[in-house]
Amino acid sequence: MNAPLLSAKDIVAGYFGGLPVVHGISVDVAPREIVTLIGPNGAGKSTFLKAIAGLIALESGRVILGAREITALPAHSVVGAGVGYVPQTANVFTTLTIHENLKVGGHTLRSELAARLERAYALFPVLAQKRRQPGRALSGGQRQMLAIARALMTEPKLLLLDEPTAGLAPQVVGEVFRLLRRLAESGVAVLMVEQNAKAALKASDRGYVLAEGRNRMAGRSAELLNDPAVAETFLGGRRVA
Amino acid sequence: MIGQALADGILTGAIIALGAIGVSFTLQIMRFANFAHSELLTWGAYLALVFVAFAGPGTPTGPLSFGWQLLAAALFAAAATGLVAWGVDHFVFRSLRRRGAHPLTMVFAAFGAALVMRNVVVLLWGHGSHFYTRELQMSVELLPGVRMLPDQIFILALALAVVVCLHLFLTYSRTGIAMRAMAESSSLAQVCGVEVDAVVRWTWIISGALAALAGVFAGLTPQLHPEVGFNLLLALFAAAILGGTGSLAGAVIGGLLVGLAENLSLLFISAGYKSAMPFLVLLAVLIVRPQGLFGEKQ
Repeated sequence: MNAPLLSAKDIVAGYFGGLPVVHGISVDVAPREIVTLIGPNGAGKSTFLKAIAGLIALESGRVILGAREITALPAHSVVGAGVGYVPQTANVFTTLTIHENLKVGGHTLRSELAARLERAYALFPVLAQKRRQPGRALSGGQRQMLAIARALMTEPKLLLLDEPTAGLAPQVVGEVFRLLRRLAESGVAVLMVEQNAKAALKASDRGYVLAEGRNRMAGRSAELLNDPAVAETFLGGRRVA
Repeated sequence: MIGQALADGILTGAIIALGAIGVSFTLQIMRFANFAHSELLTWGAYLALVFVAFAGPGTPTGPLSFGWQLLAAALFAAAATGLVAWGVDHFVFRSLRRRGAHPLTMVFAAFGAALVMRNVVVLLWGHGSHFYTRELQMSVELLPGVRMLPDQIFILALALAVVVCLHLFLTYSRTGIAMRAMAESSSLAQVCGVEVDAVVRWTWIISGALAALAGVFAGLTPQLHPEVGFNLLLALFAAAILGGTGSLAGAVIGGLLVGLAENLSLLFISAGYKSAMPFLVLLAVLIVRPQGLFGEKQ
């Protein structure tokens, strides 16, 4: 692995006033890499992503992006540092138009906003057709596209995605994963959490298996897919050889 | 008779609407019921009085009872009350928010802030009534049986202009769009790079400025006293909740409907019960359509 773009070390985090959910997870992501976190419910996958995004406070651990320490930065500064985050549910502003959603995505931009809007519409023509419609008018797959397009407005180096294919039709799932591969090839590293572990690993370069807020296993996606222990526990009990 | 009640209702409604917009924003963006909002109306009205005390109300312009000085006083009061609102947030609500205070804690803090703010007004200006201007005005007949003072027509026009400007601000400006984004989801707005503290600051400044205009307008028709805001408190909340919180159109239409309900009730019941009308509207909304006219079901 190259020098990591994201290096998150021994992250301990939880919700305000509660006990930690993440008990020391470490994850690295290299530039142009797609990395998936899998694990059972309650493994702390989503909480880990939120901690990296600055939405919940870290109790301990360090987060380095490139050469910069982004530990404990507030969420809006993490965006400025080059991280885009797409939450799992409620990931578009339903009361704002598509165009306004993208403008909020470019909130930190000044002069480049118009060019980035054009680029987003070029990348997602379906959004261009509906730019005056409110976010609530979009289908599940289109909402996911809008959420990703919005996160890309700031040209992040790293995109964090919380279950990007949850609730999507099978053909749309493939479309989302192909899009992520295109993004990775264009230089955006991807770190995602997925319930749909098998498909997500197939679309990824590497994966981490988390359980009870800790690292369990890590490796190339193909190795994890073929690992009997992983298959047994997380991939529906069948090997994918 | 009914025409006059409608005209009076629209005027009261316009004043309520300007105050209700701030209540609605605070409810939606800061997620608590700011019962100190009515005191911002009072502060706005008295800060304009300070300006008038120095500059004078001006010689009456045309049919109006005041000159440009009162308009300047209203603008000064709007800016100063925006800062007062931000200051109250800075010293009271912000530290509670950072400790993750329960919304109910915020409400009680707001009650406390309201008491302090109201009594500071009494301390500085006394219990008595004040007037911006002692000029007398003749009402003009707009339609057969519908009379309004020129000042009141001016207030309506100005309130309409303010609402149009606010609509443009919320629709097209970077900060306005960020405010609407925050109103829907604070965490999603943050991960888009929106700085919560900046939006909160703007929300207070705008809410305070609108409250000040409402306070000046209420004080202009015809007098101001330390309860000028407090007397409108229930109407502000009834309007914000009737409209559905977080929507500009909702707060404006909610304000107009509450104003109309108050004044149309005079056709059927004694004037003594007029101030019960916002309470009845509030109860009816909470029972029949708790999300308000323009709100979405949660």
